[in-house]
Formats: sequence, C-alpha cells, structure tokens
Amino acid sequence: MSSLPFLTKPAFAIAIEHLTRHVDTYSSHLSYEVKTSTFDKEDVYLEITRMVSSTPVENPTTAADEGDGFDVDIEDDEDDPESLLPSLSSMSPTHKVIYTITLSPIYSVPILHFTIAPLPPLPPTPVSLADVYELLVPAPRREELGRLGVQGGISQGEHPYTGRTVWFVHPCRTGEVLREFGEDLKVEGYLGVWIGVFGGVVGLTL
Amino acid sequence: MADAVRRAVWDGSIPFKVMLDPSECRIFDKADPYYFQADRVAYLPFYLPRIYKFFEDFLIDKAVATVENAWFEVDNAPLRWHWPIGLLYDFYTALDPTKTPTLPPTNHDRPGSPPLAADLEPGAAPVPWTITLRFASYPHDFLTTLTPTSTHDAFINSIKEADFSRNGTAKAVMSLSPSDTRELFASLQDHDYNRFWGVTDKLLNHSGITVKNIPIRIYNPETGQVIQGSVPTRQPGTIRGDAQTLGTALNSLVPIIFPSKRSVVLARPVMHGIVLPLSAPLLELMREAMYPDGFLHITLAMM
Repeated sequence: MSSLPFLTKPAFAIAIEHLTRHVDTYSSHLSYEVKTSTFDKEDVYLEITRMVSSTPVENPTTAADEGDGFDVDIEDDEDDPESLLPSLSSMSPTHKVIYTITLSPIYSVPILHFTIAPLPPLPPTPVSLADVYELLVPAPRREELGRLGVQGGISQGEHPYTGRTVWFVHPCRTGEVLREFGEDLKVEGYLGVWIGVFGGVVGLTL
Repeated sequence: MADAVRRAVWDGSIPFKVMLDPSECRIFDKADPYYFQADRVAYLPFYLPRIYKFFEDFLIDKAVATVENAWFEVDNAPLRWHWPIGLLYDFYTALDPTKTPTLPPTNHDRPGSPPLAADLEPGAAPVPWTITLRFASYPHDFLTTLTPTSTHDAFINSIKEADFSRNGTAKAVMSLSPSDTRELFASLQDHDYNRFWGVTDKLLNHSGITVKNIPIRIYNPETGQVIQGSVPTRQPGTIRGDAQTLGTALNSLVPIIFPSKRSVVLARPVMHGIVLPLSAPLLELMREAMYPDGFLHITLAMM
C-alpha cells in the first residue's frame, strides 16, 4: 500500500517496470538496466547511462526556465527528447554519466544518484562539483540550484547499494513538490513525472 | 542527572595513533607517530589540519602531499570523511565490547607520549587505533572529495534526513534561524555540548510535531551492507500501539540477523562502543544516545 507521493518497495518496483516499458516504446535511445542490490533482491533500482559533451553551447534550449521552473509535461519531452539539453548529436561525447534511481527508505521517494567519468583522451581525473554544474546543470537553473543547502542542491555521498562515491540531488523536498500533482500522480506514471521534475536539473530526460 | 547518557555519549573518545605512510616520508623509517584523542561524535576532517601540521616536515614534497589530498587508511580501507569517528571505529574494528577491556588512561592532546598499553584479549579492538596518513592514489571511488564545505554539507544533509524521518517533513530544520542552523555544525566542531543541544532540542521538540519515526542505520562489518530505516515509534499491528524497542526495530529491519525481539542470537548491536540492550525503548534511545546527525548508527558484532 502506497500513499503517493510516497512509495513502498513493491510500488517502486512497479513504477520502474512502467517506466522501462514507456522507454522501450517511446525513448529507445535511452540506455538503461534494471538492477538489484547485491544484498537484497527486493531492492530494485534503475541505472541509466548517457554520454555528454563538455563543449560549450551557445543559448542552450531548456524548457525548465519557463513558467514556474518545473516543466513536467512529458508529452512535450517525447516530441523532442533532447529539449532540456543542449543538442548532443553534433558533438562527440567527452563524459559518460551513469545515473541510478533508487528508493530512499527514509524519504520514501526516489533519489537520483550519478557518477561522471571523463572519456579518453581526457585524463581519468574525477570531476569537481563545479564540473558537475558545468557538465549537467542547464545554465538557467544553476543559480536556483546553487542557493539550496550548504553548497547547493547537489552533494557527494555514498551509493546506498554499491557503497561507491556518487553525486546526488537532494531529495528532501521531492514529496512536497510531487504532492502538488494530487490525483494526477499514479504509480504507473510516477517516474516519468519524477524525471520530468527532478531529472532535467542534472541532464536526465526521457 | 537527566542528561547523563547524552553527556556520556558526547564525552566518548578514542585514542588514535597516526602513522605516516612510509612512501610519503623523506626520512626512512623515521617519522614519529602522532597520538591524539578523538571525540566519537566528531569527524576526522576536524583533526586533519593539526595532524598535517605535525607531519609537514617529514613529507617528501609538500607541493604534492597537500592537506587537500590527504586521506586515512586502516587495513587497506579508506576512512570515510563523513562518518562519525565513533562509527568508523566500531565498524572497522568490528568492535565487540564484550571482548574489550576498559580503556587505559590516555594522554589527552599530548602527541608524542604513547598511552599505556592495554592487555587485550584476542579479537578485542585495538587501543590506540592505528591509522595511516596517505597522500598518493586518493581512493575517489570510496571517499568523497574533502572540500571546505563537504563535511558541513554531509552533516546538514543527514540532519535533514533524520528530521524528515522523525516528522514526515524537514520543517523543523527548515524553521531554524540561520544562526541556529550554523550553530549545529559550529558547536560540533567546537565540541560544545550546551550550544549543540541548545539547538538540537529545538529539533526534537518542535512545536506541533510528535515524533513518528526513528532514523536508524545498521552497518554489517562483515559484508559492508548498510541498512537504513525509518522505524515507527510504536509497533505497527499491536493493539495498544506498544512502544518500539531496539529489539523489535532490529527484528523488523534485519530479521535474518535478529530473529528474536528479546535476545541476541547472531549479532550484538553496538553503538558508542557499548552493546545496546534489545529492551531499550527506541524513542528514548534516540533522544538520549543518537549521534549529532540525528541517526542511531548501529554496528553489528557478529557472535
């Protein structure tokens, strides 16, 4: 039993299933894998890989800076899957980003973790917080995100299942924001909405 | 003595012996160890500047071995910056307090003179705890990058998470004044009990909010697994809403290791260097013995 916007483990697993089905149908360019924690088979999570380019972009198109700052109309995103990101097709990738979407047992909402690895010929040096903003956060959203918390809305920590160092987007207001969707939020479409609201800020779109 | 337990938790400390990694030392086999007493509730970055200063003259190249790329290691395991020191010790020594003698008197803050040696039983945790200071090959996969704000950031994130767990919102934290918010971390850095609890009591007794859940992390030193949970203060499914005990909470979070709610079978729960009784009421355990970041960080001593 889930009382949305909060999710239980079984509801989260269903939400992942619906998202992957949606992706298979509409966004087959997205490279994903459904994983389980090595410690507990019930802990299911989603891993999404994408390549990005650090080449500076003039006037990046972001739907996110319109209106109230949250563009969650995923139908629009389907028409133009790269609408929240600089167009990547013409640039060769410089970094590989691996996102994972796990369920937080404390917040009972998904958390977005990610790692960024430079691709050859770049040296394999770890990226800094400034690099994360530069590489993933659309320019119009940097200031808004940077104002949150002690050092902005992105922190470093350890992955709940792998223990590896990862970046993550603060989940403490996720429930509050998603509650605004009221009856429109269903388990089936949950992760699509969630990615629409919280993914674009670090370059994850459907 | 209403605050006796809080006081004891706050005053808990661990004697450390820091060795400089031989490959970083310009005098073969000659760097003295650095001894210090660390507060269990504190974080290693608080002590790094003075440790670095002590070893500065031994370093081969100060331009390469900077305080920014320093890290500590014990038995090939990098020590996480954002775990409280008491948790690091209990986890990496897989401490079983039933095997550890009382700590000998230590030389508080007087580097150079080692503490008295203790007679340890086999399997007992080491005192002082010997860790190695390294600079090369920073293990980025396992350690977060240490920046001037990273420890504060991780601490406040944990405070917010704990607050959310307790109340279902992070409103208590959000409603603190900016100076109170700063004070949470500053008082911990200064190890000032009164200032820290002055603010934290506002979080635990926020008006109009009753604590609903208790934030717990359980660490298994044998597997490395960390289990997080937000445990209701009252046992779900009980007719009278019986208060949750540590035993009922562990039984619900890790039933394989705690098949019984009343007696330990496979592991003892350890926090702040002592074995916790399964009968301890969870809400009181949190109020009196939580770590400053709001969590009960419990390690398992396998039996």
